[in-house]
Formats: sequence, C-alpha cells, structure tokens
Amino acid sequence: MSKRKADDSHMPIGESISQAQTLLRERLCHQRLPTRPEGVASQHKHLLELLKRTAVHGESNSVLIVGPRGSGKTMLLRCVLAELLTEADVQKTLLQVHLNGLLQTDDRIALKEITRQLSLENVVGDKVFGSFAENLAFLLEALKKGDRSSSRPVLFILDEFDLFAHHKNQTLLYNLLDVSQSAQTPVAVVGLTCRLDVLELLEKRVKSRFSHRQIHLLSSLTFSQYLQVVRAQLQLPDATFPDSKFCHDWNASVKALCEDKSVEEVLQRQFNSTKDFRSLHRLLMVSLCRVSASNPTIKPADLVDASRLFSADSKTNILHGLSILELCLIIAMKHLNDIYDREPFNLQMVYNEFKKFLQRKSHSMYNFDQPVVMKAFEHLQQLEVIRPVDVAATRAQREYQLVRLMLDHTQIMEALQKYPQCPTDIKQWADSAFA
Amino acid sequence: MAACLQHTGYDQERLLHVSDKLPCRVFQAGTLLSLMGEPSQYSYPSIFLYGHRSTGKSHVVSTLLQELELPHATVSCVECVSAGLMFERVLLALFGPDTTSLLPRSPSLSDFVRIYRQQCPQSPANQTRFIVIEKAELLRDMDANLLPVLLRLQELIEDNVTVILLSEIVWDQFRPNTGCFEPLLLHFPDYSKGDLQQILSQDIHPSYSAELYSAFINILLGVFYSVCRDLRELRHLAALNFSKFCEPLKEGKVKESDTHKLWRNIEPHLKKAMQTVYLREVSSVQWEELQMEEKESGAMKGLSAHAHVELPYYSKFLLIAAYLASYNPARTDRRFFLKHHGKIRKTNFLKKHEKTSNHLLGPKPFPLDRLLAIFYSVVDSRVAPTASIFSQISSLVTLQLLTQLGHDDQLDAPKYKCAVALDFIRAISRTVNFDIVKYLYDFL
Amino acid sequence: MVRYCTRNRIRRIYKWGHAPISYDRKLKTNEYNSLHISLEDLPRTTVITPGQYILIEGVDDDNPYVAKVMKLFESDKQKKALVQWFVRVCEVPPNKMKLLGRDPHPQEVFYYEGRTCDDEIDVESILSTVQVKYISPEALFPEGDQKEVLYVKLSWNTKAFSVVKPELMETIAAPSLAAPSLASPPRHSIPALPPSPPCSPPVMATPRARAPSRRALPTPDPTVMNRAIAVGGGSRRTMSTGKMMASEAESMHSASKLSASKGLSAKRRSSITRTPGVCKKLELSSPGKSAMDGDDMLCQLLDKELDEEVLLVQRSATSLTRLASQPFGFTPIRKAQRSSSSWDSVNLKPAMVNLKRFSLEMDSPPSSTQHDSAKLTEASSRELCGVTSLEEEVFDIGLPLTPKRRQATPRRNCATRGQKVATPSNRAEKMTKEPSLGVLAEAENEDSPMVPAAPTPRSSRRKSAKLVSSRIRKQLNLLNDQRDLYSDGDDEEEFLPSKKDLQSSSSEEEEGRLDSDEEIFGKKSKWGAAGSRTPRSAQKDRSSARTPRKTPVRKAMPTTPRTPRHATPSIPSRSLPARQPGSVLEEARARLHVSSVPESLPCREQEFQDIYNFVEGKVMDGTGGCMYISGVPGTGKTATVHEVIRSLQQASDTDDIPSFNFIEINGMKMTDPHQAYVQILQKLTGQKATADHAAALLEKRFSNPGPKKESTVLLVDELDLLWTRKQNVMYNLFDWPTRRHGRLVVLTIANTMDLPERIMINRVASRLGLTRMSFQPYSFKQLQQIIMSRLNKVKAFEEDALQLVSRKVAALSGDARRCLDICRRATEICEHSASNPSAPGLVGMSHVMQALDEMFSSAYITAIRCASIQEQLFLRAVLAEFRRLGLEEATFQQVLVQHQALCRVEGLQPVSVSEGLAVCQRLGACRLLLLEPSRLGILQRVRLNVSQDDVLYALKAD
Repeated sequence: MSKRKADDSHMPIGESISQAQTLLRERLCHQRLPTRPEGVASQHKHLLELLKRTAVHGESNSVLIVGPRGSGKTMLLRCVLAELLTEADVQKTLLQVHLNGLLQTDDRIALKEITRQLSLENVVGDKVFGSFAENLAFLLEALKKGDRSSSRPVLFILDEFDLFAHHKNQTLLYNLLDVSQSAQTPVAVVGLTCRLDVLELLEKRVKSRFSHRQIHLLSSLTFSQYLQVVRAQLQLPDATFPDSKFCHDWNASVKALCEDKSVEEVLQRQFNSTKDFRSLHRLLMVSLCRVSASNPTIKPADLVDASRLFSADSKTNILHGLSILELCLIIAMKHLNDIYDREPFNLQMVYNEFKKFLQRKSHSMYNFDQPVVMKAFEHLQQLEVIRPVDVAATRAQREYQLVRLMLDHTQIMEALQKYPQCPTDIKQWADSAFA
Repeated sequence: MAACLQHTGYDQERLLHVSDKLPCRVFQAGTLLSLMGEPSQYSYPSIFLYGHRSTGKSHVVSTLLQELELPHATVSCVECVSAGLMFERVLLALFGPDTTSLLPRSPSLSDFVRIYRQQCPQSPANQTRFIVIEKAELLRDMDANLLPVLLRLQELIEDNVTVILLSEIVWDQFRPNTGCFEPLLLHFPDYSKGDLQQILSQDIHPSYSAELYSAFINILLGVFYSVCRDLRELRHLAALNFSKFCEPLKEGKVKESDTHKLWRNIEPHLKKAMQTVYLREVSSVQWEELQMEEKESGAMKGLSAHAHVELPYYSKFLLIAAYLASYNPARTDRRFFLKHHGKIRKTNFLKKHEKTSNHLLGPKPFPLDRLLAIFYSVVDSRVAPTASIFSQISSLVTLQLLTQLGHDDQLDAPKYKCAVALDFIRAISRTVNFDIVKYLYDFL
Repeated sequence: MVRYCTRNRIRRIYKWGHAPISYDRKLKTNEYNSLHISLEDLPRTTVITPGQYILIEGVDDDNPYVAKVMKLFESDKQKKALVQWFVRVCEVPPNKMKLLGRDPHPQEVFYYEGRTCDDEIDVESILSTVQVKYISPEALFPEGDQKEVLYVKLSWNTKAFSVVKPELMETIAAPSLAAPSLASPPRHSIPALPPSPPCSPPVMATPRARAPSRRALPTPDPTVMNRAIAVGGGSRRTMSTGKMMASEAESMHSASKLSASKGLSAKRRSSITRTPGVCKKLELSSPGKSAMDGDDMLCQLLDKELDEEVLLVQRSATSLTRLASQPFGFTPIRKAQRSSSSWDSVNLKPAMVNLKRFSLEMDSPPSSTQHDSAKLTEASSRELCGVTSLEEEVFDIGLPLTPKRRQATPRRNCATRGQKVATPSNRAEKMTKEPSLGVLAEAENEDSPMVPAAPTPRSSRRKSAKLVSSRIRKQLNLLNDQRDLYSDGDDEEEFLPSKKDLQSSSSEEEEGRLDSDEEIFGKKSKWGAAGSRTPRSAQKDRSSARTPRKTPVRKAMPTTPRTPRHATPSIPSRSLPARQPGSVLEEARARLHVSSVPESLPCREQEFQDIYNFVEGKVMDGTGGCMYISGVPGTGKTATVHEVIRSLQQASDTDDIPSFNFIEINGMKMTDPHQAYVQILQKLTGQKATADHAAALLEKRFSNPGPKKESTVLLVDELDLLWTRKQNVMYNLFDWPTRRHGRLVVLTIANTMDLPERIMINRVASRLGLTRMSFQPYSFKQLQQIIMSRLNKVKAFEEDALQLVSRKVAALSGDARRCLDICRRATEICEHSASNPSAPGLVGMSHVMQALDEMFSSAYITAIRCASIQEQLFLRAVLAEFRRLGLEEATFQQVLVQHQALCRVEGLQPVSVSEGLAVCQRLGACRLLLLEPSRLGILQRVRLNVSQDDVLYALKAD
C-alpha cells in the first residue's frame, strides 16, 4: 500500500529512495554524528568539562574512556569535540593530536606522527627529520618550553590505548602523562580502550602519573529504550528531507515495522545477544539494502532474513558444501570423539571407522582407497574443520598425525539435516550412538 | 534464481551483461550489489565473504567491480609476503603509480594511512572505493594489527572505502583477541549438482553435440561428485577424459544415442583416473601419454609411487626389521624370532582385549639394538655388524624411510621409527620373498 | 683534529729559549722569558713568550682552551706556565649562556675572571699560539673568516658577563699584535718593556684599533679623546697589572681556602666588610672590574679633587698589593696555608702598616728572598707590560731598594689621605710631585662617563648622538639613563652576589646595568633576526660546522645535516591568555594540581637535609660521590632533589659554596640507555655527538685534570632504565665520581629499594656505594599536611573530607599524586552537584566518597551487570562448568554445552556455535574472560579474569 502512495508523490520513487538510502547509510556507517549520544549524558558532561578546562584554563588532565566494543567511545569523544570546537577561541587555541594504537605500533612511529601533527619545526612537508632519540628530545623540549597560561593547549587522543602500553618501556605514555602532571605546556591525554583491566597494563611509575580518571561507557538500556533507538535510527528527518510525502510514508512504515511482532522478537533476540549499536547497525544495514524501487519500505521479512543471516552458524554453512566422502569422515570422527571422549585421533583410525561402517551397512557408499580418503582428509584440515594437535610434528607420517575435530555435535547434526539428498543410511549412522 | 540483477544505481543492460557472466551466482551478486549501493552512497566498512574453494567468490566480486567500473584494488594475500607489498598494490591500483614512490622503504600501517589520506582528496572521492583481499585467512599470520585496521579502514581514513575479505575459513576463527570492528558476513554456498552440470556443460567440444557432452558430464559427476565438488578440478578432469569418452564414437563402434555402451567404456577409465590423476600421482601429461600407450599394451603397470623403490639387499631387510620392530610389541619378539621359545600359551599371548591395533596408532619407536636383533634373526645368511650396516641405517634415515627420534646427539642409544606404509613394506618383502604378514602381531 | 695537531698525533719538544732570567731559591723556580716548541722532524719552532696567546690542550680536541701566558718558569724540573684564562663559548654552561642575551660569535672568547681554576699549567699541554683581538662591546664582529683569530668582548666570572676593560686587553693586545708565532728575544722584549704612556707604539696603536667603536661615542674633538684614552689607558694598565697579579694570588688563596669550612670564609667576608678602607683594598685585590667600577662610581659621586685622591690611593695600593702579593703568587699549593694566612694579614691591615712592613723588608740588608722578590717583581713587571713610570725608573737604575722606599713615602701619605677622605690642600703638592698622575687624574674624569657609556644600548647612544649639545649635558643624560637602566637592571639579575659594602654594591649596580644593557641588546637582536635562534641551536650547528669530517658526529647522524638549522622546539603560543581560576573551587583545583610547585615541600625535611648535606659537602671539597634514592612513585623523590639543588644554587650565588653546574637526565626520557652520554654531554657543553663519541669525551673530561673545573651535580632519574646487559652505562656513571679529578656528584633515583642488589653486577654496585636513602610512602597525616599546605588558607574542603581522602590513599599507596587527583576530582563533583553553580560551598564527604569510588572501584562488576543477557548466561555457564570440572579452566566447547542448557532453562532459543563464540570473544575483548587465540575455534580454553565470587555477586544482584 505504501508503494502506491509513493507512486503518486511528486518526486520519482527511485529518486527519493536513493536519497533516503544515502542518508540512512551514512548514519549506519557512523559517518554522521548524532546531535547528542543517547544515554551517556553524565559521561558527556564530565568529558566536556574536562576538555574545556584544558582548552580554556590550560589545566593539564588525563582521562581514560573505557567501554566494550561498539559502545560508542569514539562517538562520544567526537560529539564532545564537535561541541567544544563551536567556541571560536577554543577552535583557535586547541591543538589536536590523534593517535591510534593500531597504526602507531611503536614509539618511533608515534613520535614522528605527533611531531607531524603538531607541525613542529623539524617537519618539512610531511618528512620528520632526525633520529628517534632526537625526535623525542625535540618534542620534550618543545613541551617543556610552554607554560600553562601562554602556550596553546594540546589534546592527545590515544585510540586503542591498551596497545600503547605494550610499547617498549612505555616511554611515550610516561612522557605524555609526565607532562600532564608537571607545569609545562597544558595537555589533555585522552585514552580510549575496551579493556577493563587497562590500568594493570601500566608500569607503576606510569600509573602513578595517570590521574585515575576513567569514564566508563556501560550501557544499561532497557529493551524499550533499545526499540526507541532502533526507530530513531531508521526515521527520516521531516524538516530536511526533500520529499515530505515520501518521508512521511517512510516514517509511518518504520513505526509500523517497530510494532510488528516478528520484528520485535528479532530485535529482542539481538538485544539479548548484545546491546552494542554496531551490531544493530549491521542488522539494519542489511535490511535497508533490500529497499529498492520495487519494495520501497523495510518489510518485517527483510529484518527477519537479516537476523537469520547473522544467527546462522557459519561452520554449518561450510559443512553444507562438503562432498559426501568428507561428510562421512566427519561422522566417523564424531564417533571417535564419542568413543575416546575427545582424545585426538589420526587418519588411520578414521578410515578404519569408516570402513567398519561400509562393512556393516552401506548400500549407497562404496569403498575409496586410502589416498583418496587422505585427500579428503587434507581438505578438511585446510578448511580448519580439523586441526593437528601439534602443528610442528611433520616428521610423523600423515596418516598417523594426530588431529582434533573442531566441530560441535550440534553443528554436525544440523549440517546433516540441511545436507542435499543425504543418503538415509548415513543419517542413521550419524544418529547411531554405538561405541 | 531470478536471473537478472537490478539496481537503480546502474544502467540496466550493463547489469544484464554482468548477470549472464555469473551463472548460478546472480542471487549472491544481487545481495552484494545491494550492499554496495549506488557509487556515491556509503557502503558498509568491511564485508567478509566466505565459502568453499571455487564457489565464485572472487569471480563475482571482480566481475561486478570491473564491469561497473568502480574504483577498486584486488590483492591476494598469497602474493603479499609483506604488508608493505599489499599497501603498494592498493595504492597503485587506486591512485596510480606515482603514489607508491611516496611509501618509505618498509612502510608501516601509519605510513599507508597517511599517504592514502593525502591522496584521496585528489582523485574523485564521490565514488566508493573497494579493496578486495583474497585468501584473507593468511592475514592472521601477518602483522597482528593489519586485520583490525582493514576492518575499520573507513573510519581510520575518513574516506568512502569498503574492504571486502574473501576466505574459505569461517569468521569465528579470525577474531583478534581484543576484538575488532565486526564485518558484515556473507556466505557463498557451494554449487548444487544441477549448477555444476549447467556450468560444466557450457564448455562443449565444438565437434560434438551439446547432449553428448552433457551426458558425459553426467557420467563424470556420477563418479566424482561424491568425492569432490571443486568446480575447477571437475572441469580439468572433464577436459582430460572427454577424448577417451569419444573414442568409440570416432571409431564408429557406437552411436551417440546409446549412452550405456559409452558409459561402460568410460567408467573404469574414470575410476583409474580417480586413483591417479585426481591424486596428482601422475601429471596430466603423463595421463594422456598413458591413454595413448594403453591402446597398444593393455597391461598398465603400477602407477603408485612406492611400487618402484630400489634398495640394497640388506637395507631391505633392515627396513623390514624396522617395520616389525615398530609395529610389534617388544614382548612378542621372543615368540616370533626365537627358535625354541619355551611354552607360551596362546591365550595370554594374544590379548585381544587391547582393542586398537598398532596399525591404527602408528609406529612405535624402538632402540637400535632391538632393530639389529630382529635384523639378524630375519636375514638368513650371517652378517657381521660392520660399519656398512650402520651406514645403511643412516642412509635409510636420510631417505626418510626411517625417522630418528630425539636429537642426533644421543649417540649411545638412538631410537628410530619406521615411516613406511604396510603395502609398501609388503612390496619390499615380496622382492626378497619374505612373508612379513606372518610376523606381524596385528594379523595373527 | 685537522687544525690542531694534538699531542697523541705528533710529539712536540719543549725547551726554554734562553737561560733562566731569574731564580727564586725559596720557591726553587727558574723563570724564563721564552719557550721553544718544536715538532719533531719539523724545522720550524714555535716560540711562546709571556704575553702571548696560546691554545692549551683540553678535554675537547676541536676547541682547546685559550689562555694568555703571563709567566714561564720551571719548578723542580717541571716546565710550568702562569696563564690568564679565556673561556670559549662552548665552555660556558648553556644555561648561563642565555645571560649573554645574544648569539655568541663562533670565535668569541671571554676574559675569564672566575676563581675556580688554577692558572698554573704544565707547559707540555700547550698546543700552539693563537691570535686574539679585542673588540669593544658595541662593535660588530669582523666578517673575515680567518679561523685563527679569536675575539674578546666580554669577561665571564662564572656568574655574569661584563664588559672587559679595554686596557686589560690592550696590555694583552700589545704583544699579541707585535709578536708573531716566530719571535726572537730582542723583538719580543720591546712590548715587554713597559713604555711611557704618551709615546708607546702599542698604546698609540690601540686607539686606532678601536677607532670605529670610539667614533660612535659623542665626542667632538678627537685629540683630547686620544690623549685621554692614551693616558687613561696607560694609567689603567698599572692598575690592571696590579689586579692581575692580585687575582692570581687571590685565586691561589681561594683554592687553598676551598677545603676550609664555610665558617672561615664567612669570617673573612665579615672582616672584609669591617672598614671601608679595607674593603677598598680587598676588592682591589679581588678580580678587576669591580675596582674599576668602584672608582667610576667615585668619579661620578665625589668631586674631582676627591676622586683624584682616591684614585691615587687606590693606584698606590694597587702597586703595593701587587708587590706584596708577588712572592706568594707563585707559592705552590703546599705552602698555600701559610701564604694565605700572611696574605690575610696583608689584607686586613690598613695600607700604612702594609707599607711599613714592606719598606722594612726593603731596608733590611738584601736577604736572598727580598732580592728574589725584587727580581720577581722586576721580571713580572717586565713581562706584564703595564707598569708605572716609577717602576721603570727603578729598573733603569739597577739598585732596587732606595727608590722603592723613596716613592713609597709619598704613596704612604696619599694612602693615609685616602683613608680619611683627603683634604684639597695636598693636591698641589701631589700634582707637582707627579704630573703624569695629574694628567691621568683629569683624563680619568674625562673618560669616566665614557667607560660606562661604552656598553650603553644603541638606542640611547643614537639618541644622544642625534642631539648636538654641550658635553656636560650629554654626560648628564648619559648618567641618567645609566641610573634608570641599572635600577631595572639589578632587580632582574638575582644571580648577582649581594655584598653590602659600597664598592661591590656599586659594582653590582654597574654589572646590573651592563647586563640589562645586554638584555636590551639581546632582545633587539632577537627582534631583528627573523628566525631567532636559541643559543642551543646556534651552538649546535656551530659545533657541527666546526667538527671536521672524520669525527663520528656526522656519520652516526646522517639526518642532522638535513635537519632545518633553525628548528627550535616550541609549541605555538595561544592568542589570548588562559583564563585564571575564578571561584574558590577553581582556585583550589589549580593549587591542588600536581604541577603547581609548592613553596616548600612539607614532610620531607629530613630527607632534604640529608641530601643537602651530602651534595654540599661534595661540592665544597671538590670531590665526587654517588647517592641512591629509592621510594615508591609519588613520594616526592625528584621534587626533593630539585628543591635541594635550588637552594644550593642560591647558596652558590651568594658565594657560600663554590658554583657548580646541575644536570638532570631521566631514564624514561631517552630512547636507549646509551643516549645518557649524549644528553649529559649536551647539557654540559652543548655539543652534539653520538653515544660512543660522547662517552669518550665525557670519559676524557672527567678523568684527566682539566685546568678549569666546576664540580658537576648529576641527577639520574629512573635509574633502572639505564640497565644494559654489560651495564657499562651505569658503570661509567658511578665510576666517574671516583676519579681524582672527576668532581662529579651523582644522585640516582629509582623505585625499588633493592635495585643495586637485584640488577647490578658487583663492580657496579660497589661503585654505587652505600649512601642510600629510601623515601617512605606518605602517612595519612603527611598527606593531609601536604594538601593543607597546598591549599594554604583557601577554604574549599571540610576537615573530615580531607582526612578521609588522606587515610584512604595512605592505606592504598601513599602516593601524593593520587591524593591530589582525588581532591581535584572531588572539587569537580562538588561543583556539578551544587544546587546553584555560583556558590557551590565546601567539598564534603559525599563528594569525596564519590571521587574515591570513581577512581578505585574496579568496573568489572558494573560491566557484568550491564552485559547483555546472553553474555551473563555465558558467564553463568563458565561458573557452572568450572564447578563441574573442579578446575579454573574449561574449553569453549564444554562451556557451550552448559550455555545451551541454560538457554533452554531460561526459555530462550539456544545460541548457535557462532553466536556463542561471538559472545565469548566479546567478553574476552573486555577482559572479563581470558581466551586462547580464536583460531582454535571451539577448542580454545576459557578462564575467568575476575574472581568467581565477584561474578556471582554481580549476577545475583539483578
């Protein structure tokens, strides 16, 4: 029905849909910042105050933002910065240095990057001159020169903070935190990490220099709030969106969607498994992609399919593609696991088990000689369905190399259910629990 | 399969062209396309495609990207011995040759990201850029930070870029220990039998009818499908064996219609193929030669590698002794090798309740003197324990028919294992007409 | 290494030019007037004669020490020379370098007036001659890049720069102009012969040499000027020589005194300040310029007659003191005690007594000693070319005794007049007696304004040059702006010694003025130059420019040549200054910030005293030593040491203890232990070098008896970071202090008490020695006291709140930083929670409590509570599986079974393996669980990173 409505709108349906897609995609890919992150008002305030004091009063600070993956640490920081930079004088004074533990993998690189971003005088173009030692001395000298009132405050943002703690001697951290604790250039050191035990990574002299401020982002949303968020994520802005009619329809359909029973239980399941927004975005993204001129709204079915896509067990998917021989081998392994409870086994045993099965009752399968089985076996190993116990042991013959099965019984059974035209006797064999 | 792609972002006939380039994969292509969205739109930062070998993962992706002329870089991890190489290829593909010169000698991730950032404003940024990484499972063995960075590259570079990872391994076994940005998982299912039939039937031999060929494919699949579903492998086998299949037709013995005869002709041949060329025990060239000469002399000699290994006389006995030593329990030696051992009751000698035979568990290590003892008892003529014997042992070790355990430093009592299979040792003992099975505990 | 052939390259042969010209029995010293240095297998020989400038081998091959030979003699078979030192730019400690206020010229040297180095050197250490030119302070350095020529502008007395008196330099300049490196005795004896003021070629030469600079001065008629200068110069010479000798003696004396306790020196000072007369004489004997300033001041203050008198007095006194000082001047150290004591006597008695004693000596039949002394004086006066005409007479007439007494008499009564400020009556008589002095006197007051005028800043001079008016007026406004200049000058020069008596204070003012001038000077030049280079950077590329190719400096740092030369490390300064704290809480917060340095460190008095005594003792008797300071972080180790150093430096500024230089390195602030050498060297001399080169230089510096030595205090923070496998860095750091000439005091700081035992091998540990000190963690009382002292009087906290904080922290770590941070956080919380932000009120218990558990409570429990249902279930499953197995570890597969069971119990749809893994690895990512690498799939083992009880507690709660 909403399709028909869309048809007699002034803008061509494809046009407005691609508009909507563009907007929502940016939102779901974390390109567009929300005006205010939800549910973290206090943390937001704390951080804002902190940074403002550095920017305005030139007071040095250090703080850690801790929260699980996808809980919106970076988002929070970016929101705060955006708000902070609205003030003109702050924008003029504040210097920013963005580091990421994933990129700046040691202090040498990190120092060069800092120097570059501060564009100190030993930088020409984007080349930083001087050896590691010189760079360090230079930077420290520079920071020492400054003082609270006169020199511009510097904001150091260390993403993946825990990785910096693994640098040699934690030199960088020590020096940054030391500056933040001494009367030099005012700095604010902001670390982002998902590790709750990050402080235990710090050497004690480094730890002592860190003002133990931690901002925890641990969302305690209820499901109803969660639903609200979902809706907010999908809504189109009435004011700015060009085609008001389409926008209205869309929002209406979103509302309808969120009230739908199946959708609700899909979301409930998602909420149960994890609360973070990233995975939610992933879910919505997939269902959003289904939207096209032919079906101009997100249908409950899309969402359900999407969630099925994610809840599906990937190993089972892989098993689905195995040849019948490989499947038989896996079943044999399952039995071996049952017999010698999860002791490692080798090809000979598996083959033996398989042959027993063939002798006992098989009308669909005929025997394969060992090299063929061996090849199938190696394919399984390549797929990391089985794993050699000690990878180093290459001297032993391959057929006697001990391996373990990396599948759970539930996976095998599920795979058997799905397996296309699976012979019944094999199914029986799999089910049979003799030892 | 609704056999055509459609997306508002791209013009229709091009999509049609793409879709008939992708038989049996239109659905996956469609999903992928919808995820990509229109060129200007943001796409999800990282997409993880997993599925079996030769299920058309990279084929689909590359066809889409090439046909729709989207800016992309395709890198295979097998080719990248170092991360630096990968960066270089990516920059080269996205921004042209001059940018690679900007990279320092051994570029770090930070260098890569920096240079990428410098470059992306210059070239048109309104299109999504794609970085396709094949054999992504190898990323796990490279720099630990590489995978997490690639997954959240869009955020780090602040550019509309999407990383597509292709792998056979499931995502669960990728996750770094401190977590990372979770990519969008997409599974490429294997081709069903029908699909395989359809695809294989496409490359028909010009001089024969399509029906014949598909019949041949049908037979081929009937033999191999239960063992292997790898499209490439099957295609290879088909190519190799089609000529053989057509022989009777060429000779005019049978007509195309009567498939039964053809089947009877080709079937044993295919079985043989499975034991040999499928296992790569003979190369495809050898295989074709074999097919030729087979016409003259029907008898086909043993193809398997272990049939023809030439060893000195005593070495053969040494190997036999080693085999016996490593597959028989030491306590049974008296019974086997002493002329008149005392009274041993069969019952407590054959303890059958020990379930798994040694041929399941594999060879056991044994000391040198046990080897020699068995050797002297099995070899009929008297041999002096000369240096030559020991040198032969060591040469067996170098041939990897024996493996020496522990380190080489323990000269006093080295331990060995026999590293040959049963039928190999059988072949050996046959040459010195020694019936080994009589002496094997497992076969009593 | 290219330009100066060091002795390890080429052997030199040193022999005296002639038979000894005099012999001192008492001191057993032969004196010579020329020294021939010949390189073996090279024909040409270099002749060193007194009054010539020489290069003396020092720690640094690239720029050896510069000095001027005063005297050549041989005492017990050792060829010695008496020298007047000059300081190169690189020898002045960089931190003092900023006093110069401008970039030093690469070839600039400073006339050294410090007392800390003996000026008796071994001839063997002479490298070659060098040419030194005097340039008046306001003149620019000549452009000509002749490397051999060094330039003198200022003098350096280890505390401040001051204008070197031109005539000092003239006396010096004369021979150096006349004597090339190849000199023959007759030729060089000409400058040695003291010429009469009006007609001496060097003196006539000098004004010409200084003509451009003098031109700048507002003097309409050059003839008067020249005469004035000539005579004035001539007259000055007499004094300066006197002062020079005196300074020698003085330095000897101080050297001997160094070992004595402060008390003694204090007594001496008090005795100095007793009577003005004594003061005069004393400061005459103390290094030169103050005397000059002294009578400059007098010239300005008293009217002419008076100042003539005084001048006379001083002049006479000068010559006398010189004569008196002569014999002692050369006594070797072992006689120092005696000489110094008798010298004291000379000091403390007023001039007349002094004279009497002297004349008595002269009267008595010429005992060898007197004869010698006379000889000595004669000789010295010969090779020091500044001599009064009277003495010339003496020398012309062979017999020393009578004329001495004769002209001693007028001196005496002048002196007496000098003491009780003289009456105009005797002026005529004196005039008649010595016309030259009369002339001299008026010359004196002619150029008296000019000497101070010389260093006045360009601005004032240009201004004064513009307006054409009478001389007096000029003098007047010159005087004026000198006044106000030095008034603002000396309040910013806190490093100047503060003596009470007139001369020195005046001298201080003088100095103050000079320095302030320099300041302005420097500033101006800074503003002038676009890329203003700090002395350090200038220093750096200077040295790099001077280092020849083969030195490793270049090789090891290939990038340095490419580094932009003008790179100064600096953070751009903000447009509008930071806002000052407004409210009480903000005020409190600012005070509570760790960075805000308190006036004094409470609760560390004992440690302070110990460290102080240790360092002071070592510095006093110029020895070396190590001290090891340990303590957990945040117990004020580094702060205390800095405090000690600060007060020590104040002490050294007021001459309580000899001046020393302080260097600090931090193990954490270097990339590699061996960088320690580089940093030490750089902070010591400002040179840049690679690690091993620096090590070599330092080794040389600390091991061999370099003539100039201030003792060095080295603070090594985070010592444990300097550990290397061979521990050679630590070894050197602790070994240098043990060297005889090291004069190095090393204070080391680390966290662990038993560091030496744990990581040091024996030879290192034994060198570190047993002087240890450990800082205990603060008790809660101390913490409280610290906070109070920081807050002083700012009422922001409730009593019990403070107590709570300090008790809590003391219980946990005793880390002062923690304590302060918590208080700061508490103030913030108070601010936020306040009902009306304008008047938040005091920080109370509740706020502190909140701050405390923000900082100390672990987030695990909250994390678990906030986790999603599946995650919580998984944790339950882990617990259940652990209980089943009775182990602390299980594979994921086992846990998964439990998990799915739990799901069924909870009525949820059981998770697939992938989902289960995802959940598990999310928990692993935030370290609630410890996991094996994920490629093990379901086989990976799972452990808890939290105690089971915590998990149970957290899960029970909801």
